[in-house]
Amino acid sequence: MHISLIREHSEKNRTPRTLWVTFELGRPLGVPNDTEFQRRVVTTALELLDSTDGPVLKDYSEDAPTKRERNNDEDPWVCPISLTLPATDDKAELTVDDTLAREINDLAPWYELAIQKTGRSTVGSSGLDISDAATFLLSFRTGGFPESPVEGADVDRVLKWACDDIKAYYYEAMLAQPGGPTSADLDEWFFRQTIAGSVFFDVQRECLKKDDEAYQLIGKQYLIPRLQQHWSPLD
Amino acid sequence: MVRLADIPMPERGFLENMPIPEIEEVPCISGPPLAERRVAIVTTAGLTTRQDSRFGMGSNDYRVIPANLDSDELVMSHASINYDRSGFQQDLNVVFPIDRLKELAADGVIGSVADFHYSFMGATDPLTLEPAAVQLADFLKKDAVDAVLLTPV
Repeated sequence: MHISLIREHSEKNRTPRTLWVTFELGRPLGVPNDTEFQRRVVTTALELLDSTDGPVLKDYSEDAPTKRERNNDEDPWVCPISLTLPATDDKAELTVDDTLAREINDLAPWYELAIQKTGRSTVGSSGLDISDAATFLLSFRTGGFPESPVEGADVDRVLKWACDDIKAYYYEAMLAQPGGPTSADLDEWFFRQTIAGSVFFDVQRECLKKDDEAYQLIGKQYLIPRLQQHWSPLD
Repeated sequence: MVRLADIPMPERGFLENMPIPEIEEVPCISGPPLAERRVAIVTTAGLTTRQDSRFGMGSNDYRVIPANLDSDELVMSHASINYDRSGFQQDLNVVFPIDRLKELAADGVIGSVADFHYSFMGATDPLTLEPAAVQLADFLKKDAVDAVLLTPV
């Protein structure tokens, strides 16, 4: 049986037994860390096995509230820590490399706390540690296109995975803090308020300048989500 | 609550215009009661173990996920960046409900949990996945699996 996140797609492909859920893309079981909610979804999907007159497309009856909705928290989420620049008399001398390193350092205690809370981290797609991933990303920012730092992996793929790791590091650090950011809160914070997000836009610009199909694809599809593209300095 | 009509543009337009292949209708086959079924998860979330090669753009192969794998050993290398990953970052089970299946098996709701589960990377033409899916079906049979839970992202 199949859990579907987009009913219109399931209407077309007519898989034998499908449970359509109204949850956000990326969350087929609905609510993280809610055992009973997830269990109800799985059980309802499994019960479709009793149907023998398919294709069956069943609408799941329960929506997935966000943590803020469950807590009746109507205030907008704001990042609860200040990603401050280091104290100095001449901030103009600070490079983007410096400020990104500082930002990553500021988030480190929260990232470590996240690992303590969940017992795991999803950082690790690139195989680079987070500071090396940031250094690798920065090397694209001003038009440099380095060799792959991972043996046997194409440099464009490592760039994508390094970006995944940097975002995961930032998001996991935020999720360890009090309060309950939604996925939209996290995306808007990352791409509009962090140095890392601004570097993503810089790298996108450089990728799109390059006469190379792989980098064109990275620039168009694999750095900035479609819902954040309107913040791009390219617009 | 998220329905396609509620997703903002341009993401909604992309999803509305996504080509969906016509798949030959497969009849529903009856089987043993749920309490006797052996269940596996097949996800298109682009999950790999830390030791496995990552998925690339357009990958049409799969990775094996042992049922007893520590949750910290799984990473996500899906090509798409246009869906939420923060749920997965908080709880593996929101994408890959292995703990829920183990609980259902312990409670007798299902018969057992397969020894091996599988992941594809869904941002590709689904028709190109067929050769790997046929091969995988053979592995599932050898593991005595008679129910598969398919989870997307």
